[in-house]
Amino acid sequence: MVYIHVFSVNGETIEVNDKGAGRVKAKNQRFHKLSVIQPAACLSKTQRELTKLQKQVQQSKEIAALLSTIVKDLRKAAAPEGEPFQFTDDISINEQLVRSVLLRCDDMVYRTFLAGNRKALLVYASSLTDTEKLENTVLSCLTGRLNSTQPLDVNQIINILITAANVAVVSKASLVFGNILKGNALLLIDGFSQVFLIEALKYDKRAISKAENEDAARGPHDAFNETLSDNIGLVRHRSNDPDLKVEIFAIGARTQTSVAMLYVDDIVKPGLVDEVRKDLLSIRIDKVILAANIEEFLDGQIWSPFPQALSTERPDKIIASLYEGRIGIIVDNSPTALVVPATLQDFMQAVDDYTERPIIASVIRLTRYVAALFAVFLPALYVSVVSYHPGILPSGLAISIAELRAKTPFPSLLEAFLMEALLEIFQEAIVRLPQKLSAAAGVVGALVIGTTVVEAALVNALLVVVVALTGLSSFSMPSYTFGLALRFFRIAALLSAAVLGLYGLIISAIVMMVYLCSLRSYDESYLGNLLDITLLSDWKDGLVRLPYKFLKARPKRFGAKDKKRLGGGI
Amino acid sequence: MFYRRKALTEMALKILAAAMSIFISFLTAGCWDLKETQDRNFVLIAAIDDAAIAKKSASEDEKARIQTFVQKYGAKEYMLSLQILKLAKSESKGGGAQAERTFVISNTGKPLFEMVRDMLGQSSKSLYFEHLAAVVVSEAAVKKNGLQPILDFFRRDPEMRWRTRIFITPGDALAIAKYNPPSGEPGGRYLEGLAKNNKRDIHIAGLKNDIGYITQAIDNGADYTIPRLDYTDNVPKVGGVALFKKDRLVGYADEYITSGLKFIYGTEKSAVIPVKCPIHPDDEVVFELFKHETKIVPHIEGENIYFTLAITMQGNIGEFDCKYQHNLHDYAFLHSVEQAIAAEVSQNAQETWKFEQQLGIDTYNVKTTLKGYHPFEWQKIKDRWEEIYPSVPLIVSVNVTIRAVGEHD
Repeated sequence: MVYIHVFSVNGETIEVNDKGAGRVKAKNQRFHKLSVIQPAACLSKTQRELTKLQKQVQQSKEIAALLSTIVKDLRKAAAPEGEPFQFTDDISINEQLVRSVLLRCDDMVYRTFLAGNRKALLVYASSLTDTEKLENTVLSCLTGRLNSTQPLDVNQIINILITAANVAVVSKASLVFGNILKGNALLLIDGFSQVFLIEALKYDKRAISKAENEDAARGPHDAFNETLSDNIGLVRHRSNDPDLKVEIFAIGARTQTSVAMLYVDDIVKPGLVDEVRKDLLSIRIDKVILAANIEEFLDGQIWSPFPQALSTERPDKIIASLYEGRIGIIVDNSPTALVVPATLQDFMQAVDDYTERPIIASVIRLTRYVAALFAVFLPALYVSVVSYHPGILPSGLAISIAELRAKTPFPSLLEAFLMEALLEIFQEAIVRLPQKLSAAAGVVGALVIGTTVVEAALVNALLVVVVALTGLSSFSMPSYTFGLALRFFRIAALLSAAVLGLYGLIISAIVMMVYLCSLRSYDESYLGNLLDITLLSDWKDGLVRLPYKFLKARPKRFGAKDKKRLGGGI
Repeated sequence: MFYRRKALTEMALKILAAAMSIFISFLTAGCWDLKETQDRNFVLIAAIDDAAIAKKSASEDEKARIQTFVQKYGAKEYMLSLQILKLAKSESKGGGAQAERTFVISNTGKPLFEMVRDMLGQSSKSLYFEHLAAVVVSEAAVKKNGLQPILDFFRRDPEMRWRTRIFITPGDALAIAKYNPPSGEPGGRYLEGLAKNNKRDIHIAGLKNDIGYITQAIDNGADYTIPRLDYTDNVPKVGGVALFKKDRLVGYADEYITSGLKFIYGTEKSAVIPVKCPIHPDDEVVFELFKHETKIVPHIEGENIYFTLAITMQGNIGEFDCKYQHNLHDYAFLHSVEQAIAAEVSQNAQETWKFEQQLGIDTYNVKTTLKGYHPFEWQKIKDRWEEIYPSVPLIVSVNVTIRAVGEHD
């Protein structure tokens, strides 16, 4: 029976056993530590034991890791440099080798069958491979057809027997696993040291649907989905030009994601393709999950808030960019394609600019530029005028602003910050919420910002107008990423104006302008091209959009080899 | 690794130093004149009186004793009253009397700038002059030392604006500062509005009567006019002008002379000129002027100096008050109307010219015109100009065209 020491009362130590019965061990014996009579209860001793144990666990882990590398090394046996192993003539050894690499990949299917009297094995990933296709093109063709009397000729098998559209004969083991994991099937036949890779890809994908973020009123509605081949198809479908080149690279040390680089060979700026290719190939990254993973490696300045590659989900935008002499990059599993180089004016253009009447489109585009200025400078202008220079306002306006402001307790900067914070929180809430709820959030936001804040005299009504206009202006940017960059600069301009008034506002405008001119996307100045007099012909499709009749030259700023558009017009 | 870390630390130090220097220069060199709009007391009218008016009654005298300061230099010459905008708008819902939008604080002394600063003892917020709408100077104040010492503060201080309106009142300027228009506008804005009506009311002295133009006239040694503002018992009225020779108020001109001045200047956009009906002299025809050009040219023939004034006017028949029916489409009749108008304008111009000659003032600055046209002759006569001017004739030729006879005939 085990006694557990509990405590001592009046000098009597009471021990209680595990059934609850107690006994008095000793009378009138005072002690202070449980460990004196019960050495197992000693804390420091236990601690020491624990540490020892932990050390042992750690050591055993290290040993396990060492063992596993040894096992790996042992498995590698008899393989050339860079190869996991080498295929042999014996199918059972081959199967062993394949299984050892695909250890613990439970989604792999190993289907053994008899091709004539030879043992054969089909290996494929159940989730990625079209089994029906395999049945028709491999299993039904081979089962029973091959016999030992026939010569062992690889060519005969692929030329006569297998009916699959795409078959490859390989002997290098390193090529095999990437293909299996893409969805192709591996066929091993006894007696061959070469193996067959049979294309039988199948996986569920999103159908080509409307552009989620860039829908145009009159333009085409098909947009990229998450499948690279579909996306390249959407672009190819729009142009039957053999000069439109597609180069596909596998990027991501582990994911080996396909990334396609598209360009028009006889138009693109000389040297640009090499530069982008070099940048793509020098990406050292574990995994490519998003197009943005690639985008950041193409940026000239990684700390810039401004996007330096145009991302779009519209194939028509890509094709238009390609024929301007730019490079499109499509990343597998990502519905947004990238275009480089991209400058400020590219982020200010929308497809609707080209579907509407030129004069209307021009007015809309100019409005957008004004909105961009509003989005950055309006709150700053408000603060500087209200806090420093009410003298520049017409008297009537100055008086009514003063009357509005007299009711609110905060200085204008704090007031503006309060409103900005509200706006940002509100925006974030709307973006994060599911669509059904965001309408409700809209109501709450409109009530809080629009009326209650003013009624509670926390901010004045004019500031609400200013901030609302600023928010709407940043929403009107065709590129959401670009709008976010403007939001970033808005705060800087606001602070600068709050410290130095209009003087600060102008300083912030100059700093921003200098920064934007010095920012470069593949050697193209971000803002500098917009009003460069040497690029006068680009002005036709810059701040305004002239009729197609006049747009006979490709944009000079991208340095296209072939400067004239064939047959004039787009 | 060690070297890289060292380089990083150096970099961080550099960034820190740059940030510190920017921050410190903001603190030391930034124009820290931040003052929120609502923390300024908008001065809308500055009214300048003779300090003596403060002592008219016992209670006023008592008030004036508080609203001043001990002066080491200067004398208690002027009383400056500032009309200040009330910012907390009283929210009277549903009718009721219009709440007063402004209040007035006063101070006596000299110079004005010192008085303004002393008035901060009466004002919770700093006094803000950038939206000053009108300066009203009483006749008594002007007569003391001339306009120059009064105007200097409004011309020199960087907060003042050249387009601020200025008025001369024969009565008390303080009463005008206390005026609350029934329209609910602040008084200063109301006065500004009155002055802006000069384009349509030929009795209100024109365009060139704000602080900026008067400053120019003073700097050029020219004579000038300032609109006259009368005020009694909550009724303000702008009409006529005060005439200034250099710095000195020489008198007032009535509405008739004011319209003559404007005919010669050609500054109004629109004017209403009544003349007698050419056939029935008891009744009137009203000509509405809408296009007006003038040219004044000096001539010297031997010893004779004279000016010619060519006036071209176009306009409509604005009102036809004749009891008898006239065919306004009859060109002969219209021509007679045109001639009657021309005669009227010519006479008005002539009388104005003579009026100025009698007072010895030259608000058109015709001597500069003469100097421009005949520089060599001017050298000979410039010392005698004061003697010559009162007898120089003006030959007026007026060409009037009636373009339309109105909506209904």
